[in-house]
Amino acid sequence: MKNGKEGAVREIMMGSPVTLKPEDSLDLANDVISLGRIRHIPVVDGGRLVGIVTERDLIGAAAAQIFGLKNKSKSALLKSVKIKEVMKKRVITVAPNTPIKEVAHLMADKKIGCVPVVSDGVVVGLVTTTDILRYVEGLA
Amino acid sequence: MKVVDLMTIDPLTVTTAETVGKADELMAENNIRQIPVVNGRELVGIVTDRDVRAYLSDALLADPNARERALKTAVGDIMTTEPLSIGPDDDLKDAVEMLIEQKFGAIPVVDGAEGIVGIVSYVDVLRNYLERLQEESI
Repeated sequence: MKNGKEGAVREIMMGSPVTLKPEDSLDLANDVISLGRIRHIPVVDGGRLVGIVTERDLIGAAAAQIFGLKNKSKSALLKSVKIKEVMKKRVITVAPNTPIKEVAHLMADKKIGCVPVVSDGVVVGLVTTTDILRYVEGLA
Repeated sequence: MKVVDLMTIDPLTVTTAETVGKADELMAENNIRQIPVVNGRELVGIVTDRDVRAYLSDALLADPNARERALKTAVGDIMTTEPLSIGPDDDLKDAVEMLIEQKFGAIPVVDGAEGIVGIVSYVDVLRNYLERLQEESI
């Protein structure tokens, strides 16, 4: 398997991912996720990673908010919720030079779909299961 | 490598008549995100945890008291019908390509004569990759 052991995350990550701010409203996440066909968005504050919001959080938040907010449309509901209220704050990250096999371990063991790539606290990329599968396929 | 070498044999399945609540429970208990829907051994659909969450949250938006009723809905009403599948003797590479292109978490494995015989997920592919790395380093 060529480069199987040496491959690093920076070779396969997507650079400059779309990010959101903690004060943005949830409808923005909804737009980004549905228009971009993506499922995870890092949340950054002044360049620093502070959380991640996923398609799952979006759906879960909509359900959780409903009890207090009768008769609101889905779009009004999403507009009224801030990203910081639903994002996951404990985010597993990797560095650009993390070996690809370590990320594959993380994804297989914890069933995480996406890991932000962080260098000195700043988000420089995003690596997803799709990126890893492409890499694995290239080796086969 | 063939799909059959990696797939999970005889995966959990539900019938169209089983409830959304039951599918939700099965996925949570077994830490899985997709369940093939069958009629006997014939694959007729697939339901994912995303389908279930989206269905429940939409139902709740329409009526906050609708949770119980939504959980009792038949799986057949919310499943994706005519799901893509792959054969046990197909190349694993084809399955991996399908996972990438379609952004699927898993693909049901269907044998023409026997019906559903397995399921292959991205986690299976990653585990296999890691095992191969492990073998190389010994």
